[in-house]
Amino acid sequence: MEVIYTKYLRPEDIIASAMEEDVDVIGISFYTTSPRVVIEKVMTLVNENNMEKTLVTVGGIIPEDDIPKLIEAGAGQAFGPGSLPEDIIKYIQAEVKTRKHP
Amino acid sequence: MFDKETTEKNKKALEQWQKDCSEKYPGRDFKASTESGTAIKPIYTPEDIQDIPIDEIAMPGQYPYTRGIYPVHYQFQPWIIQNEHGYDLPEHTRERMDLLAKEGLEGYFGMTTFNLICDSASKAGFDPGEPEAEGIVGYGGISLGTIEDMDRLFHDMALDRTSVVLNVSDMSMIGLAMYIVYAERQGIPKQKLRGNTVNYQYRGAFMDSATFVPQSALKLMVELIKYCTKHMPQWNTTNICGYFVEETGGTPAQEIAFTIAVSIAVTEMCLEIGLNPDDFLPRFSFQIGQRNDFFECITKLRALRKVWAKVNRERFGCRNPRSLQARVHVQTAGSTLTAQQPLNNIVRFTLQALGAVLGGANAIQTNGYDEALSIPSGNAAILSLRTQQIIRHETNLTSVSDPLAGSYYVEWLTKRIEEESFELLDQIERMGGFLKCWEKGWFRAELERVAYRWQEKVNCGESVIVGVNKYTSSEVVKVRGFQHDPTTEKIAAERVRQFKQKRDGAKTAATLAELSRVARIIDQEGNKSDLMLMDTIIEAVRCNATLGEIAGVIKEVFGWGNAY
Repeated sequence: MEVIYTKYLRPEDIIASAMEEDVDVIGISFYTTSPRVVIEKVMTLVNENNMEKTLVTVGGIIPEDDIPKLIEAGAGQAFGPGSLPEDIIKYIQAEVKTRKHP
Repeated sequence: MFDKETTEKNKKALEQWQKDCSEKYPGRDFKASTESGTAIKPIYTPEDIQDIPIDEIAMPGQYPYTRGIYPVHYQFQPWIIQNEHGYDLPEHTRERMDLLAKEGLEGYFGMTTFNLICDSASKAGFDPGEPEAEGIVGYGGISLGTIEDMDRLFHDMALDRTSVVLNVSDMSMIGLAMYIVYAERQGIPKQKLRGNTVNYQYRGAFMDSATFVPQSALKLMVELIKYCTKHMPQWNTTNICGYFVEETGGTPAQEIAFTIAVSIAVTEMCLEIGLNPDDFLPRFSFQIGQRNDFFECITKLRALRKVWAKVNRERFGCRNPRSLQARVHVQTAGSTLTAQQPLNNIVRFTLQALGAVLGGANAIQTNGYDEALSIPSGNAAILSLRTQQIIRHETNLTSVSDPLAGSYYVEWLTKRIEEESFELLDQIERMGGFLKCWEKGWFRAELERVAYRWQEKVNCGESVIVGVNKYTSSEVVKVRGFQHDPTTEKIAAERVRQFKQKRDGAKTAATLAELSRVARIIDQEGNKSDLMLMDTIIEAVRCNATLGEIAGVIKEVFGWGNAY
């Protein structure tokens, strides 16, 4: 699994990097801000750019109330504090496999 | 340290102890290590501190201030509770300020004190309504857009009896300018203002956040120091924030050395423009993280005071004792708090606060038990306050200054951390100093290495985190995190819009142009003793420029973006 670590100021930056690097997964971590607005924007851009096969998953401090809204927007699983790296890896591997060979 | 007879007696006792251990616990050595990896023994004895000269420990209030910076500490003035808060609109935060003051939040010598943090949008220099601010207005702190927000925060307060930490991160100069202009409109001259602007433009060296170009970051720090040294003798200019290093995974020696390296770099720049270190170093102070390794974090504070005193006296020839006395605000380590079984966190931050008191902290922040879920809810904020109040009033710890002095383990570990810190400072020096190390990405590489090792230990269970990788329970105690006011962003954006409509736009534009002109001179030619960026920022605030507009000019001239 190749991981490209990057930063962003706006959701558009995330999509631009993702397209440039031709990724299978976009993983975004949140800490002080609510993920909901960013994820809704990211998912809109994902759909606009025909990137539906790309998994968008989130991690960090994810308010519980936000989780249903993230799922509704089309994001994948949210990994909160204490999540084990191996669980995240297994999830990503399984999801990407399914999306590539539905 | 000890005379010949005592040393001999101790040697015999130690030999007997070793014999007792071999008999009682055959094959076991009980070796362990501190959280950061320093090897430690099961007991410490006089032999371990034999070579420490007594004047290295000295008395409280005596160089090198191992035992504290005052001859008598909490008996005269206890540490203050300096828990930060801030969220949504300024008037929402004011409610929390009033609540905490009512519940006993108080500053030194009875002054009113608040530790205020601004939101992610303000800290990045974007006004509510700008696209980059969408979704982050009021998150992580107060939405600060215009001078009008100062009144929403501070109305009916005697600002000359108030000490305020105004944390707008990289944009702290703008926050300070707004505070100065607001105070002057209330009839309080800036010379009478007390508080702290964090001035931590350097943090991009340690953590991933958008930041100024490294060289610019330091120039901006010097601008703020220069201005306050001249005009605001009661203002604490610079927060040497080891907490960034600690929270990103740093060891105590890294926390001390990486941040004192910042102070060294900035001091040298101030010297180049003719400032006297004895005039500005007394207004630097520290923010240090208190983790779970009880004694390692206590001794970190003692070692820090030694390193600060020695560097400033020996390297910069400081003679003012206040340049050598490290004032330390301790924040209990947020990264140690868990989302699982959140009430456990109450125990964690209580123990951490206890450690801070035993280490001689001058101010303490106890985080909320809901730290891993959200910013503190009202209940969490009050409980954090009560924790420190109980330690202060019920444990009798305030009756004796530095009670742990003389402990063989404490004095040994203090010396050990001090030595490691100086080794790191020497290494940074050999690599060209703080700026070079930042530009090379050296700090990040070092911290990532340590953080990764820490995480590996958690993943395999070697480091136990109760409730997370041991003693996990399926029964979940429901803790409701802080709930933001969802109308914040819309109201804040509308306020900025109306503020811009009401003002004399031409006047604002003229001051922003002047700001740009002055900023360019400083960017191209370096800090100059007779040119003050702060003067032009203050003028821009007087002419009703918004935080985002001022920040836009500064970011554009000095270069700002994703972490370097």
